[in-house]
Amino acid sequence: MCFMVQAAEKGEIAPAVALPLLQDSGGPVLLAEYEGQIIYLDFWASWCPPCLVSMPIMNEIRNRLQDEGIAFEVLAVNVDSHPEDGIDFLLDSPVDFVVLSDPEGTSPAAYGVRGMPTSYLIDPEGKIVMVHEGFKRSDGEKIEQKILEMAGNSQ
Amino acid sequence: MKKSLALLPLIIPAGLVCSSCQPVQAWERGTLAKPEMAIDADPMETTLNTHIFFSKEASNGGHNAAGGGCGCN
Amino acid sequence: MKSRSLIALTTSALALPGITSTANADSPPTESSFGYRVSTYEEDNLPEEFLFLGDPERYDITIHQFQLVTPVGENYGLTLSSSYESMSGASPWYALPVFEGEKSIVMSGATIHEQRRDYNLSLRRYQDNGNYAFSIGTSRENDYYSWSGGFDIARNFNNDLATIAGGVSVSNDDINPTDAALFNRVTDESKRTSSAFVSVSQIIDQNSLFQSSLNMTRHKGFLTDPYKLGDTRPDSRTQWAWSNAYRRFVNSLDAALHLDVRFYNDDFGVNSLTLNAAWYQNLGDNWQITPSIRYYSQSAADFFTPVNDFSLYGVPNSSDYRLASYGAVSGGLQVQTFIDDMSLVFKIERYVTDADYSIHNGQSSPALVNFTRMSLGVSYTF
Repeated sequence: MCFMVQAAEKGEIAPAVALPLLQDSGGPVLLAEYEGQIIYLDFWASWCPPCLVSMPIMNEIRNRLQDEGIAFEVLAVNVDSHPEDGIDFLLDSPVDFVVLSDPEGTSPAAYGVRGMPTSYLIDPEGKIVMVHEGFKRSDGEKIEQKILEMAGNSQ
Repeated sequence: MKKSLALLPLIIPAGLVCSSCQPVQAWERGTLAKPEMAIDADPMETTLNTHIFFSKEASNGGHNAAGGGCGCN
Repeated sequence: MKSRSLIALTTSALALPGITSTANADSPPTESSFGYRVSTYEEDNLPEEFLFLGDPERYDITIHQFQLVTPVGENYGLTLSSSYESMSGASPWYALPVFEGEKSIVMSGATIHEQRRDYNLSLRRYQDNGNYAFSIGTSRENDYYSWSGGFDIARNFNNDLATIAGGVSVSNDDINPTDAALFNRVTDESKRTSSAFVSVSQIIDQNSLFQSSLNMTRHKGFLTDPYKLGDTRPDSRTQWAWSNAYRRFVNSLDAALHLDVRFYNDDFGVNSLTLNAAWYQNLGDNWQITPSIRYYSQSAADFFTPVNDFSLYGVPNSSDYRLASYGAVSGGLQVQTFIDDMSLVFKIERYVTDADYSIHNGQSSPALVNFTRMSLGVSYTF
């Protein structure tokens, strides 16, 4: 890949995503289908340790916020060039949110992802509110706080 | 001046290698992340080898600074 | 079952500068791992045709290694390693002018039994664009005590495609030879070592990377071998090593090629070349077989003499085979298997030296050493 794409920044409209599901046949799933909800769009791979730390934590946060009635969803995009590696990880640590597959890397290219993992908090209007590179355990709290703030503002 | 000349062996190969480099994007590094692709794929084996060869050969020095010695050389 | 690459990442790559950064944003270990390895090697007996006097049976050595890697907080990784080494056997004491055939080597009389213990601790801080670490270590034998300390730092550039790393270390060794009075050996000597390195790592493409590093080490103090008769060496030594490493993954064969070249030079007059090649062949998800080959060649030190010249008292001279011109070829085979959170490894290696293998100048020694080494190891991620 020789081209460099302008990175999707805070304040911009999130580039479109249309990808098949990782584990089940079917799709494509479109990011646009989730308009009206707060979206945590996460680019991850099985070979990236901090990505794997984030998965169960984001799963917990997603379930907790949904239980509280907040319109929030996690969309994870697996970028393993061998999707089976991503599937293997999810068989051991299943998650409740939707995981998409992008072995060609077209969507991280469109977002100009610079590190693994990178996640994007997208508001109900489709605008990027936060770009987050890397993942530590304590980042979960910060991200949850930000989502609660966004949910408070939109009510 | 002499010190900066000493860095040439590092800069020249890196430059030669780089001229054929393609920008590898963050999500394209799965193969490079494989453990067998590490410069030092097995630190315990490397420690052992360094120690054995240090005690049998006149040379030492590798990809990092020297550690402590032993009475074996 | 955890991802195999995750297990290995926590045990290996994360502990090293310029490695993880080539693939991931710098990140501390996310899990802990423990490794144990036992290795044993036997030096071949000194051939009878060279033995003038003493015990031809050279060293048998057993080394137990332990390593613990664990995250500390969210930004630090701690590596604790230790080894326990025991040796027994005899070693060349001095070399006489030839009286009869080629017999010249006098081995130490009695079998020597020795133990060595070392402990090393390193704490690495991970940052967005690199990492740095402090390390300390000690090594103790009944006649030898060494401590060391070091610092290294790595910074990533060019969208994490390149890493520049550097580091310094110092150590102090105290030498108190046994039976000093009996053999008129020195009693209380020491040497200081300081060392520095710089390295550049570069991702070439999705399947290959390259690292070049330059290392300088300076020793000052007592550099003579106190257990050899008629051994006198200069009281300082400066060593330069230029190392290059190339790693390439071959997707069609599911294997990784390692190539390493090192050029070495010091002011004892030793030049050397080291070539290493290894082929990490994956067999399915749970097995890996790695054949490897190493070639080494060195020139003799300026003050090396194949036989001791006892008239040179106080002037640098040594008949230590390690300062002779020779070449060495070694071949190894490693088998590794991954079972859930565990990995088992077995390795066998044969090391053979010969004066004729050398591409360098200088005289050789009849006391060159050959050996066979076996290692068995286990590591566990939790």
